[in-house]
Amino acid sequence: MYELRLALRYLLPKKRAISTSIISIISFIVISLVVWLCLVFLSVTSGLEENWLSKLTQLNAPLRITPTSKYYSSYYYLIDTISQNSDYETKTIAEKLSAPQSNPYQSNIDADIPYFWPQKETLSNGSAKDLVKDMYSSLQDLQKQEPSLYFQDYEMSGAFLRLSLSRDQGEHLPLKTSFLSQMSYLLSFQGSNPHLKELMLQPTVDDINHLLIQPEIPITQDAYYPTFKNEGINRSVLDHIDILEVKSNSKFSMSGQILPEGVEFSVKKSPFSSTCTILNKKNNKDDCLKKVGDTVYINKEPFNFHELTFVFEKPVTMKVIAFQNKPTLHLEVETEIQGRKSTGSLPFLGLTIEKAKPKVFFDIAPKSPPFWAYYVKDIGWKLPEKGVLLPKSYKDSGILIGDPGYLAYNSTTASSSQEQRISFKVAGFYDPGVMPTGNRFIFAPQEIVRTINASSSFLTTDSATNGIMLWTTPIKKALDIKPLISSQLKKRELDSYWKVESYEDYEFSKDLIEQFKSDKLLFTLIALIILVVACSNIISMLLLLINDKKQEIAILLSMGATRKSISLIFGLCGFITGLMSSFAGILAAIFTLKNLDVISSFLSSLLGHQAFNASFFGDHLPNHLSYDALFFIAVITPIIALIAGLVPAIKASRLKPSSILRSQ
Amino acid sequence: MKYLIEVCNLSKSFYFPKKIDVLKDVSLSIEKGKSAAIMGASGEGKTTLLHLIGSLEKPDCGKVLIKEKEVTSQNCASIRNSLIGFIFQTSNLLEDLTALENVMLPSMIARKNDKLQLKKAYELLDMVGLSNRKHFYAKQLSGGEKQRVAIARAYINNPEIILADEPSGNLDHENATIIHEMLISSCKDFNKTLILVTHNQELASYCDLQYLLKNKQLIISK
Repeated sequence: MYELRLALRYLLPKKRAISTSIISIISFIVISLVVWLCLVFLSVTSGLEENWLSKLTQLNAPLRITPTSKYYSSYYYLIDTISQNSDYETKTIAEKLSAPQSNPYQSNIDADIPYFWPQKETLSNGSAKDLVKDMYSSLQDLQKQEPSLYFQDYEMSGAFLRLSLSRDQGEHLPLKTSFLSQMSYLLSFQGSNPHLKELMLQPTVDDINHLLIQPEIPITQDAYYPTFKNEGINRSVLDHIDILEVKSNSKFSMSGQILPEGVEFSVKKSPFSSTCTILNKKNNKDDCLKKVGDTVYINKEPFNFHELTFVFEKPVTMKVIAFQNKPTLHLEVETEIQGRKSTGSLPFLGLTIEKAKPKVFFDIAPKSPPFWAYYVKDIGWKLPEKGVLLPKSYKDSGILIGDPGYLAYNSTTASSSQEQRISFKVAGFYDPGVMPTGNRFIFAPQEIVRTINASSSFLTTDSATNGIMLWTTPIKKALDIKPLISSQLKKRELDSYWKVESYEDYEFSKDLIEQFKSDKLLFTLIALIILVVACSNIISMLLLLINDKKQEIAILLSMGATRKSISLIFGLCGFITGLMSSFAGILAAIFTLKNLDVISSFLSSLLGHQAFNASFFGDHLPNHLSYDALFFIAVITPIIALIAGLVPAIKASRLKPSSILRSQ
Repeated sequence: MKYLIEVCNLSKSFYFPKKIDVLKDVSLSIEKGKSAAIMGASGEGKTTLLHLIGSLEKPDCGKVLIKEKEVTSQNCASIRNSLIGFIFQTSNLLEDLTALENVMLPSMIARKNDKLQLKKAYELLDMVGLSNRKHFYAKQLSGGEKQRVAIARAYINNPEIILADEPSGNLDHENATIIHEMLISSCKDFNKTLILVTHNQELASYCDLQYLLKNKQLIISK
């Protein structure tokens, strides 16, 4: 195709066509810059939208199925209230699902069915409906088509939360105890939520150190573990931790195991006791210590190694080479003392964990579970017994994993209302996202939520306190799955009993999502306008080029080139400029997005304050290339460039070869 | 078919902005394989007549028939590509292409870009004595060399007609003689019909027919 070959040759900058070359380079730079800007901007805004969407749907799954008022007034729901098999109580969705029979009513035992109750729900073919089991069955059918779909029933309740914080204030001081109370919503723990991993905050070293000294924490029934009293720490906590670094604290002392042989150290020997303080830095003023076999020489005076106790002048950090919990607690450490590498075995007493890796993910369920929320492959997330997950604001207030507390609720009896308490342990923290009431939501085991619901009347028929949450990956897929669920329910004649909602329908997120949609449209339009303006440079570039190549156009026409071919040559010039510029712009955008954090911190240092507000943009600006934006830019830029190129191209094709050649 | 080219009552005027008649009822017929020289003073319309024959220009009235087919705006591009080879006075080559690419350009336009055409281009460059300059860009060639490339290019699609507009007008005597000899001999060797616009009496004398364009009319002089 000679048109393409000529177009490429024409676009190469040349010394003899300096003005055309300059304009071409400017056009290239301007379009590349605009493509870069649009792509970075659209990617960041799209990332922000996704972040917000994820934050909005972290607590409330992207899809939710809740019973309608027709469900609560159905025979299926009400029949439990007069059935002995159901203890004359209504059932939650989970209870209905696990109930052995759809209709627990026994006409010979139970009271007569009131005449005003609705008829037993049946299908058009006359067979009985099980509103919950049938709905679950339709979801399971859908799951076969969409394996990324996860669902779990949920229950919500409310209780008064009270946490007790006991903190060590240092040596010789009593424990400081304080309390934290708040009226809270309880949400049954959603172990199937595939996004929980992003929500959960990993246990920190503070949590681990706190758990280690919690005497209330039950020690597993393991013959190896001594009681807390004997050792002062909970060895069962260490079962699920990889200790990487430890630091000596004020209780630390050792018998010099880690001191290397034959090396001189600066120490301070107490004249009143056998304590020898190893100084932070070596100097010639203080005592000089040297270890040779079982003898220690201090200023050349021999001492028996086992008679001395060594302490550090300042806390020392030690790298853990080997760690053993059973049968005896044993740490093999490596550290530097006065610039000399020292290794040896140490007891755990007087050491604080500085760096550790808690085990959260397990291939099979552990015999003794960790004290924090954990994940078991093929099962999902689990909470330790009586463990609850608190929003991260609690963590910011100083709560640590292992802190005890209780949930108080009122239980109504025939004559009075009594306060009941359920005790729990903090099992972790989660990020509640941007839910307005997010900081009041506590994830608790389903049994706790159900117990509170059963004794208080929190479960009402007009709120979404019981239902099914459904998760999809990616979140936006929920919008495609929603009509599929509705049609499945309709097929099974269940659509009037269940309300299917997606994140676009939630009251709290509706406005924000609408705002994001209109923002996205606006930004895309702005990007389009900027691109059109940038690409209009191509018109001037091509007009100059055509003027420069008039003679050649005439020669081409004289050789039989059609006017269409002439248009194509210059149209291609525009298209190639657009294509190459967008390619350069895309590469620059990818590079920028990869280094967005560096650029953002540079901007912040330049401005003297945070360039992007963390509460809106998050800790890091979203730096994933938006494929929608990439597709939009990569397609639209060459098209606009081609259109811009067509105007001069048509002009070129209308040139009269005869008059050009005559004017030679 | 008696005549390869038939020009019937061609008239052409230009507006600068006043109307100037350049040609009036000009007729001309040339048989296949014959060569014709058109001479005349500057501004008499020689180039215009050549452009009209080559369908680069539309006549005000009259028609041009090539192989008994009238040249129209619909078929002019294909006629120019397959039946006509042009050689101009200056600016004959595309500056961004090499000598070889310039020679091959008409065959590329005809979408005949294959090995056979490449071989032919090499042969033609060899014929004009520029096989050692085939990868030179047009700007690296001298005026005489450029014209020789233009002659080779005019033959690539094996056209039946060669239209040359003062092919040696910008060259020194030595180069002009080489071009004249090359043009006349190649047309004779390949049995091409040549229409030549020239001021050069000597060059015109090599042609079978000689015409003089004067007062908008074509007068046969040989």
